[in-house]
Amino acid sequence: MSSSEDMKPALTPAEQIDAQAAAWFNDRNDGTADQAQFDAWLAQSPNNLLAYWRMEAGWDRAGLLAAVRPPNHNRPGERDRRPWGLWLGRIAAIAAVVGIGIAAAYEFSGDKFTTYTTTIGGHRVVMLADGSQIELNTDTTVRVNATGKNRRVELVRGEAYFSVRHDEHRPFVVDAGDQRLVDLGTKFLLRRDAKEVRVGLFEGSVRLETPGLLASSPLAVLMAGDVAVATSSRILITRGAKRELDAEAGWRTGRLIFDHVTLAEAASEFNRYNGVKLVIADAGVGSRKFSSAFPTNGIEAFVRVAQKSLGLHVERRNGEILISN
Amino acid sequence: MSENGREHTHPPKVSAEMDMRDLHLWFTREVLPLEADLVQFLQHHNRNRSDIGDLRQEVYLRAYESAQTKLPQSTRPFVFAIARNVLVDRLRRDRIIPIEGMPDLDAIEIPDDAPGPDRSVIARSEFRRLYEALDRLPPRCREAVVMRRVDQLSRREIATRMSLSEATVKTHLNDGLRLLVAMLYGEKPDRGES
Repeated sequence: MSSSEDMKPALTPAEQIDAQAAAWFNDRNDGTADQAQFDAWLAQSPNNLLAYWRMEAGWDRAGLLAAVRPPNHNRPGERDRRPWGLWLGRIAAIAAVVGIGIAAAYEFSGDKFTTYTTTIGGHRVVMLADGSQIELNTDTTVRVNATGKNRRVELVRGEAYFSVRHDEHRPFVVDAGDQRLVDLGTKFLLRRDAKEVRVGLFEGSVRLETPGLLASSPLAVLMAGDVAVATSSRILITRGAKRELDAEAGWRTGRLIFDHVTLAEAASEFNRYNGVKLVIADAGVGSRKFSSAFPTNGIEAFVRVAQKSLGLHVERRNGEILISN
Repeated sequence: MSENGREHTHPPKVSAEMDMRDLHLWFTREVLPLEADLVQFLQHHNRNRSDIGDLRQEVYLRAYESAQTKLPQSTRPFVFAIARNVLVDRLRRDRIIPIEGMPDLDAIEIPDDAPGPDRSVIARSEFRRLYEALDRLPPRCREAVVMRRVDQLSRREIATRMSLSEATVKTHLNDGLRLLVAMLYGEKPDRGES
């Protein structure tokens, strides 16, 4: 019994502190720690506190594993009885159960999708039977199946703002290309174009994942203020991007809000909403930055700014407006 | 608004101490992600063969104490400046004076390639990294950690399933956490994909 104990190499002083921190963390996680003794240990040295924080952060990080566990590990009814002090762990755990439950449910459900579309410059709000809303921006197509056990949406193209009424038993799942969002009660903006899928969280949280690749799928829980941009190779998450988000959602009130963006970016935004296309002649002009706000159909106002304020040359020809130096 | 005619006299904030939550967040979000680079840095310049874990703890301690009055604007240079001081102090304390002096310590360039404080890149490799770290744990230890972290079983339940005493499970979990954290923070991720 004790032979394996003897084999252990002696711990360095630093490792001893780490070992104590790990033991305290695990005891507290298991609900068997004595608070007064823990406090006393913490009070001995800030080293103890820092080592504890480090263990806690590492355990949090490993929580992503809980969210992608294979279904055969799934034991409904046994989850979440523990006093986790870790919100991340809890969310990941709940998301795992929810996400996997749903993935299985899809396979058996009928394919009764309804398609909603807007044309260029369009803007429309779709009310779902459950009280959730999907607000479609210009040139957007979504397919919705909110009947029966499922609440499933596919963003085929474009951009939409989702206000989801949370229902623990009927999770709201949105697919956009390779990315899947599993709602945990939320308002978010989702945009899909040829290169990337973009998600911005206004309220609540969603889980971002890649369907079909349980073991290797990337995953993140996005909270309010987070923006995630997913390409085929990676996911970039920006935290605390409330300001950018508000600008991005300007279209909901018919505005394009540019906050320190390049002319090229602004032009491509306008081009989403208008039949007349803006063309920036060269990269030098396109990389100039500016800040302003316009109505989504305010292409002429934009052209005036380019002409008057930025001193650029404007040329119109068959459905295009060419802006150059 | 100014009913008594006085100027606005909001008392200046006298909070000399940082909010503990801010410190906690700062430490976990900004300091810990530097650990792999920090460990490499310490290893590279560790002239008197101090224990790296010990040096690392010393750096964290000084960083923490210094950040209590004010969080640094930029964490990376702040932490590495402290690391350099720790190394220099060790050399002085141990009276080891290297022949070539310390110029290389001053000339050390701290690559500032880390994402800014509010950004984090979750590469697809993060999951592989977690799995690989788990995989390198001793088998029984790994089994216990997976049951705890992934299946969320209690220590008692794990003990039953593994036919071990609760005390042994406890040891496995404690070792597992310490080793896992050392791998996750102390080691560089693979430089494969971005």
